Amino acid sequence: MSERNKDEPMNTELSELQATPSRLRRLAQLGYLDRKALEQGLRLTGAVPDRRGWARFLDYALLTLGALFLMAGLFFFVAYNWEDLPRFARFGVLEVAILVMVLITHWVGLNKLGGKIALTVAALLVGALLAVFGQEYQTGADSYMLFGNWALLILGWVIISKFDVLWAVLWGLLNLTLFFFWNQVLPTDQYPQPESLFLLNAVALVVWEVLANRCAWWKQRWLNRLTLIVAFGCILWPTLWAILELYDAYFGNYMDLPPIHRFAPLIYALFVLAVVYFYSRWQRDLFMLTMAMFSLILVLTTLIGRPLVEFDETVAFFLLGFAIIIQAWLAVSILRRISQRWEASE
Amino acid sequence: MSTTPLRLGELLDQLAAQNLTPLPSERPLPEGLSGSNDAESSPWYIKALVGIAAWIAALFLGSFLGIAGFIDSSESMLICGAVLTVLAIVLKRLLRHSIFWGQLAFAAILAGQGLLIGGFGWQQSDVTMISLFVIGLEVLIFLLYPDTLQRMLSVLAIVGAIGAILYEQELQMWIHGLNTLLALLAVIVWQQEFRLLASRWSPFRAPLAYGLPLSLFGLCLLSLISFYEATDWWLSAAGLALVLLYLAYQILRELDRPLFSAMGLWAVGTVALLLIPAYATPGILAAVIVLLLGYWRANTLLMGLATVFLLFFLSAYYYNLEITLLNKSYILLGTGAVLLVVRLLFHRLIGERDMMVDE
Repeated sequence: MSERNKDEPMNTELSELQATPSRLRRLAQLGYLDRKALEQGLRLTGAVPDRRGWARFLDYALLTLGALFLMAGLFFFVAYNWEDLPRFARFGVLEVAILVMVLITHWVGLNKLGGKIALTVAALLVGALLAVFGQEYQTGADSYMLFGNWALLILGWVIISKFDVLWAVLWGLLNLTLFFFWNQVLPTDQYPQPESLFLLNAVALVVWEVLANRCAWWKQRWLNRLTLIVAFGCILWPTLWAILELYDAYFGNYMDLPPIHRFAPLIYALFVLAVVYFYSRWQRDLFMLTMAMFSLILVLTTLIGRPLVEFDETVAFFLLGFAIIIQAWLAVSILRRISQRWEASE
Repeated sequence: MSTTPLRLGELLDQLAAQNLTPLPSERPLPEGLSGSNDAESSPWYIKALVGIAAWIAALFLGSFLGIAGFIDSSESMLICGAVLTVLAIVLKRLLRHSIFWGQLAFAAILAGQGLLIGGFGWQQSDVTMISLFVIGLEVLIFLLYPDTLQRMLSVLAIVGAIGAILYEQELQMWIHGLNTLLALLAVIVWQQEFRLLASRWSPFRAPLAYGLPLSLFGLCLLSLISFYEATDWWLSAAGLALVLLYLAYQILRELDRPLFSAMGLWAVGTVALLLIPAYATPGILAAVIVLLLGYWRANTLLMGLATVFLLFFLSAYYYNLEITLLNKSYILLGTGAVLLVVRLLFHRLIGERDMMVDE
C-alpha cells in the first residue's frame, strides 16, 4: 500500500476501494481518466487480456467447442435412425465413446479442464445410451425413468468431478425427472408439483452454497443464481394462485385451489426471508437480493391488484401502474443502499 | 494478473508514475464514483428489474387509458402517445438522477411508444410505412431520452423494423448484408470502447455495445424460421466469417502478432473450419464473435449471452432442413475432432510456457 500524507486532499475512503474494471470505467465516464489511462488501468487490474490470457482463453475455448461439437455429432448420429448398422454396433459406438472419454479423464486427470470436459461428455453420452436402449428394446419406460436412471448412473462421476457444469447437468436431470414424474404419473393439481420442485431447488441451492464455501473449484456463481430463479419460479406459481383464490367470489369456483397448495404463501414468505438474510449477511450477493425484490413486487402487486380489480377495473389499472413504479423505486433504492454499505465496508 | 486486489489509490499512483494521470494528491476522486443515485450505474440485473417493472407498469397505464375511454380512435392513440413520450423525455432530462421519476418516465415512454406505433398502425396498413415510422420514432427517442435500457430497446426496434421492411419489399437477401453490418458495427463499438467511454459519446456506448449483438442474434434466429423466406444463409455465414477474421486481426495486432505469421494462418484456418457447421446456421459464428468480444473487453455478461446463444444455435442445428441428420452428425463430429487437433497445433505454436496451468 502506498504511503499517503494525512493532509492529502484525495478522499481516502474512495482510494481504498478495490480497483475493479467497472470502477475504472466509471472514472472514465466521469472524465477522471482519459482513454490511455483507462486502458492502462484495466491492464494493470488484469481485466484486459495479455498474450498469456488469450492463450489460456483460446485453449479453453477450443477444448470446449471441440468437445461440444463432438458430443452434438454423436447425439445426432444416435438420433438418426440408421438402418444399416446392426444392434450391437449401435450400442458399441456409444459404449466405446463413453469408454474413451473415461480413459481420457483418467489420463488427463480431474484437476485439468480437459479431464473435466471428457467426464462431462461421458456423462451426457450415458443419456444417449439409455435412449438407444429404450428405443431398441421398446422398454416403454416413461421419460422420468430415463432421466432418473441417467441421474443415478452419473451421480458418482458428478461427486468426484470438481466441475460445476457437471453438477448443473445432474441438477437439470433431477428437475426433469420430478417434472415428468408429476406430469406422467400424477398429472392433476391435487399433488404438490410446484412445491416439490421448489424443495428440490431450495435443497440444491443449499448444496451449491456449501460447495462454494468449501471447495476452491466452485468459483462461479451462475449455477447458484440459476437455481434461485427456478426455486422462486416454482413457489411463485402456487403462491400467486393462492392470493388470487383469496377473492374467489370474483371468479366463482373456476380457480378452486386444492388444499395442498394453501401453504405455498407461507413457504414463499419463509424462503424470501431466508434469502434476504443469508445473501445480505453471510454470502453477499446483490443478484440474489434483486431476485427476492422482484418476486416481492410480483406478490405485492397481485395482493393489491386482486381486490382493486374487483372494485373497479379502471381505477385498478391506473393504481397498479403506479404501485409497480413505487415498488421498483423502493427496491432499487434499497439495493443501492445495500451495495453502497458493502462498498464502504470493503 | 495480480493475485491480491489492487486498491484505487495504488492504481492511480501507478498511472501517475507513467504520466497517464495527475498525481492523486493533486486531484481528488469524484464523489460520483461511489454510485450516483440513479439506476444508470447499477449492475445489469438491477437495470433489468427496472426495465421489467416499467414494462408491466406501461401495460397497466396503457390499459387504463384504453378502459377509461381516453383511447377510442387512432387519433386519440397518437395524441396520448405523443403527450406521454414528450412528458417522459422532459421528465427524464430534468430529473436525470432520480430513481422514482426515472422509473415513471420509463413506464411513460414505453406506453407512449406503444400508443404512437399502435395509433400509426391503425391508420396505415402498409408495413413498410409503419416500419419507417418506427425507425424515425426510435432514432428520435435514442437521441433525446437519456437512458441506457431504452436506447438499447431502440436499437433492437430499429433493426427489427429494417428486417420487416426487407421482408415486405421481398428483399430478404439483404438480411445477409445487414447481419454482416451489425456484426462489424458491434466489433467496432467494442474495439473503440475505451475511446467512447472517455468521450462525450459515452452515453451511447452501452446501448450500442449490447443492442448490436442482441439484434445480430435476433436476425440469426430468422435462419431457423421458414416464414421469413430468406435463403442462402451461407452468405451471412461468409460475411460473419470475414468480420471474425477482422476481429482476429485486431486482436493479433494488439498482441504484436502479424496476420501473415504462423499464428495468423492458424487463426484464418480456425475461422474457415468454423464456417463448415455455420454454413446454414450463421448464429454459431455470431456467438463466437460475441464470445471473443466479451473476453477481449473482460465483459462476463457478453460472454454469458454468447454462451447461451451458442448452445441454442448448436441445438437448433438439429432442425436445419437443408442437410440430412446423418450428414449433420458427420459435420459436427468432423469439426469437433479437427478443433481438438487445432488446439494441439495451437499448443505447438505458442509453446507450453505460454499455456495456463489448470487449477
